[in-house]
Amino acid sequence: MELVYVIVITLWFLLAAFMYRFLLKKEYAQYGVDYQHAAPPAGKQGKGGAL
Amino acid sequence: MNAFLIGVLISLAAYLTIGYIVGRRVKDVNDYYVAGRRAPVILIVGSLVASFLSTGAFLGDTGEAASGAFMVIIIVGVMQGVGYLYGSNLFGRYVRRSRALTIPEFFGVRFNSTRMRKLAAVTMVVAVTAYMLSVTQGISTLMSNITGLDYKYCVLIAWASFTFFTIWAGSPGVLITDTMMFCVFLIAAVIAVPAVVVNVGGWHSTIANLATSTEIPGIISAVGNADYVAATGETTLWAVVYGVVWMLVVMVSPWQTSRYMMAKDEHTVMRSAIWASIGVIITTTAIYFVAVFTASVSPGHGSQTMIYAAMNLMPKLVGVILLTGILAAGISSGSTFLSLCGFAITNDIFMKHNADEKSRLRFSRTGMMIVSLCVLAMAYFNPPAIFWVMYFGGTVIAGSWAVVSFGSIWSKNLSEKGAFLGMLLGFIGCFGIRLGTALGWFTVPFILDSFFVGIYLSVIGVLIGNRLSKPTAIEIKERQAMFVIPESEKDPVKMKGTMNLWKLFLAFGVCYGIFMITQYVVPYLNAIK
Repeated sequence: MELVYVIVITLWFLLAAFMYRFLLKKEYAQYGVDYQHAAPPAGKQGKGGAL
Repeated sequence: MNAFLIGVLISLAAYLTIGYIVGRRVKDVNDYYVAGRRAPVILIVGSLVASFLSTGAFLGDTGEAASGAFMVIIIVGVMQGVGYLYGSNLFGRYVRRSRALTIPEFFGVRFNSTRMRKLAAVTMVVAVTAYMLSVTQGISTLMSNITGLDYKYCVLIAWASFTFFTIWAGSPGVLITDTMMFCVFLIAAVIAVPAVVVNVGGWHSTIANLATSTEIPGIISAVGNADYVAATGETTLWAVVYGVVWMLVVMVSPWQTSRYMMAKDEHTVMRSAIWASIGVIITTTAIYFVAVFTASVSPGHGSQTMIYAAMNLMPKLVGVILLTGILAAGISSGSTFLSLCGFAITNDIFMKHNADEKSRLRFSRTGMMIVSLCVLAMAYFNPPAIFWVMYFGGTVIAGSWAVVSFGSIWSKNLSEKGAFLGMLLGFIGCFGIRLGTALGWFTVPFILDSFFVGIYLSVIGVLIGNRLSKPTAIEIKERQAMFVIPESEKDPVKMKGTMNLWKLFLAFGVCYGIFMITQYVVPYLNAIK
């Protein structure tokens, strides 16, 4: 029983993470912005980053 | 003067000093109410967690865990913790977008209704005052135990500890002191675990002792101690229902969602939600383990379990930090609740909009002082009931606000009349049942728990109101305005960063599961074989 409870609790976490992603994706779909391929500004990249 | 008292006095002096310094910078009502709407993630996370976790969690919940309801409280803790992820997406970001100064103002503008605004303010003041009472009693119990002073003197000290700097500094002071206090109690909770484990004989052996405990049989079993909690099925049902109640509190309560109003942008809202969720779950899980470990060597302390642990089962320095952390949790919640009451009285009940800035600030501060004096009187003349008074405040808000809050964003058909009746009937039902059962006037079956009655009546009120009138053109326009995306939010780099945080939460969830299986389930099952 204890194992079942802990597994359900863990699944609850996973569901929340996926729901966060789902709801945010739905919201961002309305923004019309390609954020998935966004790169941080040059100043924030490491030394090997694009100039 | 003992070391515990010195630690507590030093921390009180620090909060008062910082509150005083921050308060000197408050220039206008916008500063005082929403800290200029420029708070970064760290301050929003600090205030979210600090205003949510109070002495109710540190003394009340831990008392329940130590008395035999460990898994029940873990379930409630985890369910409520993830509420931030749903709440920020479904309600919090829109509250921030509305640019309102208070949550009742948000409802008033959304439904173009003064009576809606006043109703939201009155229900909020009632719930928040109950919560503040719980916090004041919690701080007083703590101080009385540490100092040996009479409980009633401690009520006065507890009241003063959050009243003066909150009245003076408003939201900027609350945000900064909340964040400081969050850091103190997070550190306290985390270091208390190894400190107590060493003293009770090691982690796995203590889990084994608890699993086979004869003093509190079933204390850490899935269904808890049968003598303390109800029958098996009902225990789990209770945990799930109150998990939902507290998840709704995290999602829609004014003491949580008002923090989002101070965020510098919506990305801050979303990012804060992830970190606040992690912060709440780590803190609560840590203190629940400390509570049951303490019960393994010295059961029967109830809501004073953590105080006993700090004073008897830890090195003195860790004990001082833990007691200071519990105090911080109480003061931080008290300061948030008091500020909310003062803002609601000025901005939403008496609506002093035409007065000049100085008059409005003065009125807000006077309102806060009156509310805090009422709480002081109630705490002074009533015996402490930290756990149940806290549940009263939370249930009233969850039962009466949830349907209307989500409906205000996601329902095209919710009219002003529907929203008003929904909140009013939900509040009356929830409040009435809670009061009646608390005072022993009647008992109700589980299905008629105050939360359920509040939700049933709220839905009925919404349906009746919507039948009586349809949303007006202004209401429709106000709802549509919620979905106009501010240009400042369309930064692709920030969007990517905010989105990627789901992976962090996923990893946290997996780690939590692994921790619970290896450190709780396996040693527990081995012991009862």
